[in-house]
Amino acid sequence: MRIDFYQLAGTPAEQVIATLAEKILDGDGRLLIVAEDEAQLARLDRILWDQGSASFLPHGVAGGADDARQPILLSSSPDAPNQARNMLIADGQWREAALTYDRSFYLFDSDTLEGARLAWKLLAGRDGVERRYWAREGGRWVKKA
Amino acid sequence: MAATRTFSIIKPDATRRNLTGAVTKMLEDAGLRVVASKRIHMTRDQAEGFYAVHRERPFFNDLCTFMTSGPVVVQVLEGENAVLRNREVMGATNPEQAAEGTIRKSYAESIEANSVHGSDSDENAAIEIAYFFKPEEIVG
Repeated sequence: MRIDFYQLAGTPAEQVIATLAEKILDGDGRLLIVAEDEAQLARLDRILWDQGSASFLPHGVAGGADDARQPILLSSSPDAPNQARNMLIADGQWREAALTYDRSFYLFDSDTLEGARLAWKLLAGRDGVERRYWAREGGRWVKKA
Repeated sequence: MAATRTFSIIKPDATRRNLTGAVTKMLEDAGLRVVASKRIHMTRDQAEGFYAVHRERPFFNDLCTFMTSGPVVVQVLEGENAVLRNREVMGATNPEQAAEGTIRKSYAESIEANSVHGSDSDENAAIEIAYFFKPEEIVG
């Protein structure tokens, strides 16, 4: 599996999430977006109705009757009833369950930097895990490692 | 080339943040003319009808709930290649790929989103315009 670390450094998480989510949907993939805070999930829910080149990014908040059918599911749990093979950690809190997906995205900022550093070290040399680290440079994402 | 028309919705989050004028100015600066416009609070029936193509999709109810969560501004825009021009000015999801002058490029940091809906084809534009406007309400 592959995990991409994104250091936000002032870039709004929602902006990065929308871009990644649209790419995954364009590739016919499904996505689980995880955050512990219900307020953050509610905010993401609202913003995703305003995103996407067509008009919105189709999604649902976990706990509904149609969780299994949602292209993008917002949840506080790292389990994916929608059978997503892609997971995105939106709140900077590392979760080992990220390693059970084909691909995971880990967004962190200055407040969660230490946790990200620790996760990066813990994953070093782990069999079957490919790490990538992206940072903003000159307004663009640059692969740093 | 003859002018064509497209349909646009300024969504609840944008109207809530008092961005109707800012978004409209960007549309006009892009060469589009607002030939009809009204601020409405969509009823549930209106939203369900407008998004009927998604009726069987799992997100349908939530989408309708969002679109009825506050006022929206529905507009008819006119200009050369209006559908394409409107989608250009909305901009790509990724602000890095959005061209200068697009809504996303200009407001990605501050309004978090494009906050607008734009028709994806001339055929759908005609359907969407007719859904919200009578012919006499459109003044070219």
